[in-house]
Amino acid sequence: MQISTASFYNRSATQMARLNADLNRFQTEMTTKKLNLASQDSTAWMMLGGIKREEADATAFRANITLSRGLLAQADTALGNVDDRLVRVRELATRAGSETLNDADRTSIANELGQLREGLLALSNTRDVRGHAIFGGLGDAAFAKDATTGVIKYTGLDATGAVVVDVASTARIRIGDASEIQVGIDGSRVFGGATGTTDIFKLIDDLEAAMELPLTAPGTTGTGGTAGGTTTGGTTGGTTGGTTGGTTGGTAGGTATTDPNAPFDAEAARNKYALAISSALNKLDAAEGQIGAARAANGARAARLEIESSQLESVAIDREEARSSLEDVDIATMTVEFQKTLTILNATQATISKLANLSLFNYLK
Amino acid sequence: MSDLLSIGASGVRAYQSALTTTSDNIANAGTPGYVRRTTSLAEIGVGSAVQLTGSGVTVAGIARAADPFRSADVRQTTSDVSRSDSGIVWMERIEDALGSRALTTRMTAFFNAATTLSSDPSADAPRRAMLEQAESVAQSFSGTIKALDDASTNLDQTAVSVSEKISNSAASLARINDGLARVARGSVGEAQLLDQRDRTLDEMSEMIDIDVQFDPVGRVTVRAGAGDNPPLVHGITASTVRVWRDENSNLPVFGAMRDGKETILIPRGGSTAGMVDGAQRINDMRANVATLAADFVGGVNAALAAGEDAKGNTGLANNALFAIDANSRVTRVFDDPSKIAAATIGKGPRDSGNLAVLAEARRTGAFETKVVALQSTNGSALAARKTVAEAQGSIRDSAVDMRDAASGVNLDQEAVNLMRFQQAYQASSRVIQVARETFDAILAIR
Repeated sequence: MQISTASFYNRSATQMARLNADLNRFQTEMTTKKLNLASQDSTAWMMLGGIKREEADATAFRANITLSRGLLAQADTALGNVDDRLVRVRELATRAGSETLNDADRTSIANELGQLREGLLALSNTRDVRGHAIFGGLGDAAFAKDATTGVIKYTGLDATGAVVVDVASTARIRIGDASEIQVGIDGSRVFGGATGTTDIFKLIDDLEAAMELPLTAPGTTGTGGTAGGTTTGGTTGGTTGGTTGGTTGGTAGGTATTDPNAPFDAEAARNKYALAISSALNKLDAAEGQIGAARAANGARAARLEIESSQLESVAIDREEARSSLEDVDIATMTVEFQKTLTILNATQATISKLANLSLFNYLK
Repeated sequence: MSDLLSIGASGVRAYQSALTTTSDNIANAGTPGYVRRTTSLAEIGVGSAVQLTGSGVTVAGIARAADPFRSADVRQTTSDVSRSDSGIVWMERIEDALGSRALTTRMTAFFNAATTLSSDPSADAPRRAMLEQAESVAQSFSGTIKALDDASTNLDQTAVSVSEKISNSAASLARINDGLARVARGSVGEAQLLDQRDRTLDEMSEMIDIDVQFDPVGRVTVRAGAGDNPPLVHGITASTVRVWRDENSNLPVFGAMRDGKETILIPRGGSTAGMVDGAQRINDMRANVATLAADFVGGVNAALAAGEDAKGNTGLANNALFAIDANSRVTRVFDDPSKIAAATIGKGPRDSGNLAVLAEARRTGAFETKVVALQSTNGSALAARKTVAEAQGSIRDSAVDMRDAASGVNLDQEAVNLMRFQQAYQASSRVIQVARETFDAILAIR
């Protein structure tokens, strides 16, 4: 078959253009990835779409887990601080129980208790990095001090016990396709306010009031003992988020209607004082139990975060492997292919220029 | 002796003509559509019963090294490959429209912005971030729809220009038919007209599949498309072709107008057939994307309507984030970040319960997966079409090679001819010289 000159040149040009296009494609794929368009491999493209979506989701979930971890740590720190203060309250109560204290000592104890109470109020309204009250659930603040009476009360419930602000249900953060984590803590179960819990603020108030009980004959009327005899049977510090169930005993406060003319009964006064102290110590046990339970629950949530996080990581490794096999270039193979194509192109160019020189016209003289 | 002189003169004339034809071939070696020509030489015959010697040579005409069967083969394969190539152009436009607007990544980013918002629903920043992602999704949807609409418009423009080209080719074929009727057989003029005719037929077959019939003088009757249509070109009359969109199917329809009567052409090959295929695909894809956009807008809005925004407002009227118009353009409705309904109704601005509803809407809607599926479907069709086109391309290339082997110019061969005719020319000149010398010898006798 005779080859026309024009088609020889056309074919040479087509061959070189194809080789050049191949080289260009190899170069693009080597510097980026091998799957850039759906038409290159539609099945792989479909899988890749799912992988990329999961990857983006995982990134968002990972960010939420990191944030949640920080929030839980903050809650734990706050609870630890509350615990420290309760320990101090216990120390003070124990000291107040010893017989050797004079009135001045007791006044100073009362003062310190007042300070601790303020500190606990501040702690109960601690805010996390987002500005949310840690113990306030979805509300703005967990506990408020009444401006006139000075009584500190849980804001979630009104006088009748009805829910006014939903402080109890705490905010949840999405950390997986179908999983959420609770980052807030219900303040009414920690500081008291919910049914069956010990009210820490009332405990301190009572203790403070006991410090003012007269133990010696002052020549004044004996004030009525207000401290209710409360026995709280609670489990102390459940390790896996045990509930703090306290049964409140009868509030049989001995309201002493004393006769102003009667002689001061030092024995009775001391008994009443001792009762108030022991009741406070009992309640402290329950309160510490509440804190411990809350810390345990918080810790359990943090542990769950670790599990979720490591699960995300291990899934990410599998996914990365799948993604890499779908769209990453095998550099070794690709380099060999590239070199092969380059050699062929060189050879083609050399042959074409040699053939193009071979014209009979060169020999016509 | 005057015989010798005239024989020499006829040889000089004939080989001059042969040399000219060869030079012409060399000069046109690269001209598309040029068919190699040869000078046909014939002996001058007197037919006398008594004459002992011949009378020289004459040029019988210019012959074209054309091969009508191979040319027809080239036309057929060109129509096939051109249909595939033209279809590929529009499928690539679809692939670009679906991919370049990053619809999947933007949707994912939008839903992940909601995940991030769940960590701090009362803050302004994540709400603003989510609004920005919402805007980006809306633009992406609108951009995809617009890209498909643009492809449609572009296809229409191309179809109009192609139908004009078909009309022009038909008109020039009619003129060539006219010229062929009058030109002398075997003349250079005839060869030029036939070259032009074949070139025009090649061009036409690139646009639409044609059926060509030749009469003895080389005039053509051309029919296009499927069915027994009236011819596009017959004698000196040519049809004009126009294109419009069918109202029901919304596909391009080509019509040929001849003698005031219009008939519908149904192209089976060439770029026009590829355009009909492409228009069908663009229409389908646009409908799919529009459905998906409506589902997405409906799903997201319904999820958000089930919640409460940062200001305590609820309901579709307050909290619908997206709107979609009759042309499937998606827009973001509000730019107040507090209007994103992240909370379950009644739980206040710090709750993120409704974002779980949104995540559920995403899961059941599977919007991203659907987009990837659309990309994949088009991608696999495109890949298959490319494979077909490649095969058709090599079939066409070999058909062209076969044709060119017969009718193309090979410079080496022409160089040989050049030498051959030059030597023959020089020899004929020598004959004249010998004749003159013989005369001189006779005249010198005294």
